[in-house]
Amino acid sequence: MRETFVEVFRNVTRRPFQSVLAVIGIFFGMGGILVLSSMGAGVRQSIDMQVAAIGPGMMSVQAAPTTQNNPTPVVINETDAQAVAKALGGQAIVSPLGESIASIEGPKGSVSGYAIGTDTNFPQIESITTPKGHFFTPVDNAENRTVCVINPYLAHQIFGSDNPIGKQIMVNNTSLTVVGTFDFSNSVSVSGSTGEVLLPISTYLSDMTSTDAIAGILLKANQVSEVPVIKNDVLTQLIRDHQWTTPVSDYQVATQSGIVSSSNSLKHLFNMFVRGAIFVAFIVGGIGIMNVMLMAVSDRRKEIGIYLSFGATRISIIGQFLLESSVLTLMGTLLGIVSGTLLGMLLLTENIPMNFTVWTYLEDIGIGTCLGIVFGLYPSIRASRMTPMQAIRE
Amino acid sequence: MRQILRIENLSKVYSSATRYQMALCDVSLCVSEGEFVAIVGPSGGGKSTLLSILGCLDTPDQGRYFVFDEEVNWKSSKQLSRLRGGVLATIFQGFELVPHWTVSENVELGLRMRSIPKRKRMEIVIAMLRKVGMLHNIHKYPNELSGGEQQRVAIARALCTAPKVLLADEPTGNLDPENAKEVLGIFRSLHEQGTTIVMVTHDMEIAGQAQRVLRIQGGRLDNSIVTGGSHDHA
Repeated sequence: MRETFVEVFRNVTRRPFQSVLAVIGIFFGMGGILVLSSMGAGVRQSIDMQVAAIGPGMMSVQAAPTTQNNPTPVVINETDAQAVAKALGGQAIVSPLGESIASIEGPKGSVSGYAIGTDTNFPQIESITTPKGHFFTPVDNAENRTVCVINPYLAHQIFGSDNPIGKQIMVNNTSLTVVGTFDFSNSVSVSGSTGEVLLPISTYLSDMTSTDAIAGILLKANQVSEVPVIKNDVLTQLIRDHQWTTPVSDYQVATQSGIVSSSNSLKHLFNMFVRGAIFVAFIVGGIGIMNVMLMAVSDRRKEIGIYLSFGATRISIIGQFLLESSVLTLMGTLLGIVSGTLLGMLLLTENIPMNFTVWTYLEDIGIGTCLGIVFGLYPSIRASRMTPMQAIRE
Repeated sequence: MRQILRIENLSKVYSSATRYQMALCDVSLCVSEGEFVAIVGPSGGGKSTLLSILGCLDTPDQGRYFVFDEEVNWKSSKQLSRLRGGVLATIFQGFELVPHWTVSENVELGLRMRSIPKRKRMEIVIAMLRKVGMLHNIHKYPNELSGGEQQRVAIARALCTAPKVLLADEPTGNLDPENAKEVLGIFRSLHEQGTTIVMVTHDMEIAGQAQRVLRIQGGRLDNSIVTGGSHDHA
């Protein structure tokens, strides 16, 4: 066995230029496959985490976007949120959500971000905490007070290392007093990666927007099993209050199960894309290795003839060339794994989701081995089919 | 004497888009165990083709071939490789050594194909190289050897598997008279030890070393001109 590998290594290194070209081809192909597989796994994991973050009892009500068939959009306002809350009783926590793009200025800088108007149920629905200061109070909301809570990213951007509590910021030319900073583990309404200002919905409606329309209503059901009933009750309430006769499809009530279904479709699409890219890389790498092996067979015809003349079997000739193509692909695969991992780590620093698992590495090695065998097979069979004299003479 | 090789009505045609050549036409031949047969004829007469088929290195288009009364099945790669690596061994006119292998690696090829352990292989290689007077060149590469030395390495390679029949295609064709004499000496010695030899040559003087000389011309083996050679089997 050792002798066989030594001979394979000698044959591979005897044609260094061809071998290096083959290895480079495989290296790029397999590196790309590893990055794509890891990215696919990372994106799937990220989608799953975001879906999980929504929580099984979480719901959001929004007006459906306008379409050709529905040119006049329905409007949801704070009164709807209050009516929904009243209709549901204790079945769910309800919070209005107004959102608009905002220009935010502080003593040490300015950023573009979002002004989010809501009420005091918001932290409970979105599992938000206030590590510094406090969240605004029901009184702040009732009295249209110009107070706000900001995220740590924004605090750093416009206050630097200073304590922002009690300081003033300008949001769309409205001066607001920062009463706290907020943090969260999982949320559907805030991301934490951009400037986000949470303020009382009353202040938001009076100072940040010229209409009474809000982006939607957030709900969190007390019992997950009641989500379908609540969804139905919310729509009934909205239709009754507005005396709407338009079809229910004018309103979107998103639940986790609905989002799971959408995300599954998204994951499936992404999966198909990744598999397609892997297939292309496989074929390109395979054609490269087949080309190199065909050249090797052509260059070594005489040698093959000599082997056959002294008792080599067809199987041993096939095995020899398959082993050589496998060694080349394995070398390329290992280099591809190293470079793919380094590239993946680089992409991770750019916040691109990557998930390197043992499975992705095993998959890469498996694909590499298959590549060597599948695309090395034809040249190997071709080599074994010659008669010794054909091989020696030509 | 027991028949070791027998061919019956063998034909072989080389054809391509531009060429049609009847290399062998209805050739029949028997070679007995321990015989030294020379086949002579002009270039293109079919002698090398005949030798290739006798060595199972090429396939005929028609006819039957028996080795020790076992018919050769040209479709059985297993049987062909067993014959090539066992009963039959061929020495090529162009030596056909693998240039990037050392002398010992070239010589042990047939043994490797039969999965003989390395230590045993080395013992046999050393013995064979000693027999042909090439032991001192065991670690050299073919391009470091003269034509005569390369031919002796090729003979050692052929002898390694202890074949019953040695098939030699113009074994002295690429050698100077001195080396040719030495190689023929080796052949005579092998024949005396009982090895059956079938040699193809265009040189009547070389052929005269054999017990039996056959002439082939235009792909036809002329069995009527069977000539006794000068060398008698011991």
